[in-house]
Amino acid sequence: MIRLIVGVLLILITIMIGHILNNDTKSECELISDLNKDMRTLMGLVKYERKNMSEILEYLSRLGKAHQIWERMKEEFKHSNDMYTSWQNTIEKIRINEKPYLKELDSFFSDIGCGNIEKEVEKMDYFIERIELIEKEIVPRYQNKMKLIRVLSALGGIALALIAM
Amino acid sequence: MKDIKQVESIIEAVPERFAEIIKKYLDFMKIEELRFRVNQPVQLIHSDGEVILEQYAAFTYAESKEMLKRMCKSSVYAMESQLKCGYISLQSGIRVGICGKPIMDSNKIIALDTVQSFNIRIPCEAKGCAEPFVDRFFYNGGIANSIIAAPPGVGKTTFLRDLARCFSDGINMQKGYRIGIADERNELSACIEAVPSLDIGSRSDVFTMVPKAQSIPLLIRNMSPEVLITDEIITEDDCKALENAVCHGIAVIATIHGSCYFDVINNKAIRTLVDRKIIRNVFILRRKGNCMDLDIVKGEEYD
Repeated sequence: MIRLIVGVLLILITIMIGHILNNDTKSECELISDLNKDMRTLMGLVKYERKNMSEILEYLSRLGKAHQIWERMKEEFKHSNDMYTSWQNTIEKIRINEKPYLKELDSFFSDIGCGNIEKEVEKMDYFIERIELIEKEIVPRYQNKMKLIRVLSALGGIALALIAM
Repeated sequence: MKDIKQVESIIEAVPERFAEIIKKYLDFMKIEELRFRVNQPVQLIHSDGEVILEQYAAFTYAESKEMLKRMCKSSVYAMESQLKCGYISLQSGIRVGICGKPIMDSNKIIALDTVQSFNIRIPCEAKGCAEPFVDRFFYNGGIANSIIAAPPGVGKTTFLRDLARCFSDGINMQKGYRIGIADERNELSACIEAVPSLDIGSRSDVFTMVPKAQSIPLLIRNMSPEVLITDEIITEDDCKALENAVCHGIAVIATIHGSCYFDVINNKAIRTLVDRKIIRNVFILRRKGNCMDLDIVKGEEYD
């Protein structure tokens, strides 16, 4: 009886570990989607309202999907007055492991705000298209990864339970 | 120079390697202009001459790009309307004249591609400089429509600002007047978030960063000024707006570039205003050392 309980507990524990591992992946995936939505908003604010960067950061820090990031960036921008520096300082403090995605955003922020409106919109269109493509690639990959972790954790639990019994 | 906000905004805008030295000069000298030209040393202009920062390497093209970005707070596109007119207004009310290579479309500047030189003009307040001349603007008990001409750098804007203060506060006159100021480039009032940072008087209403031709009708309709004051009228639209104000019974005082009467009337639109007696007085402003002198070259008492 005790062995059975230990076995069930082991299965539950491994499923729990799998769930915790998945949480990180899930939150990263959600963060990327949120950031992409905010980037679209950012483009709209530049294109249609000609808002400057501090106004945009103020707006996104209140109403953006990834508002914590924009809030941090807004504070950084107050000191540096430079989007790239602010982005770099912000990204140090958040967890996104997807390198191609980060590379695109790095290029985006290093170049933003230097040109006239046509150049800006052209650049933004290009970058937003790129990051959306990356998002489309990432999401199924992350979903598969999460599925795999779930299955492996359950199987691992069963294996451990069998060994324990 | 005492205004901390102005000093900070200049220091934030200039390349870092110049920041410390410029701050020292701003603290100890009455700097009027800072000039940055690509491949040239930086020049600081003050009332008695200039200081050339030859000990530092020349201002570079990369620095000019960086400086433009800083001045626009990483939002060059948001300042396009100003850039097309060749200037940027910093938040502290400082105006920066810029020069470079524009992008043209059908003979019109649609954007500024590269910037070659910057002229950071620090607004200075010379309270009292217009007080001795206030009575010259009156004729037959009313205020005569007047133009003040002077070459660049003499202090037209400084004089006009003080004149606005005198009329507004009723200095050297029987009463104060409601003043409407059309401050297209934010030089007269140096507004920071729509609040004037320089003294333009207690009865002054100011419209900043809007073309004169648009702000003057709004001032007339909404603020019912008794005197309309505006800086640097140049275009036909500016003159039409002034004429419109005069037709509403408002006295106008404006400045224009020029060193003599002929310079003034060489501008066709201004000549029409003078010929039709819409503008009654034309003054020439001169600087004598630290003092200003105002000569009338066309007007009721002169004729």
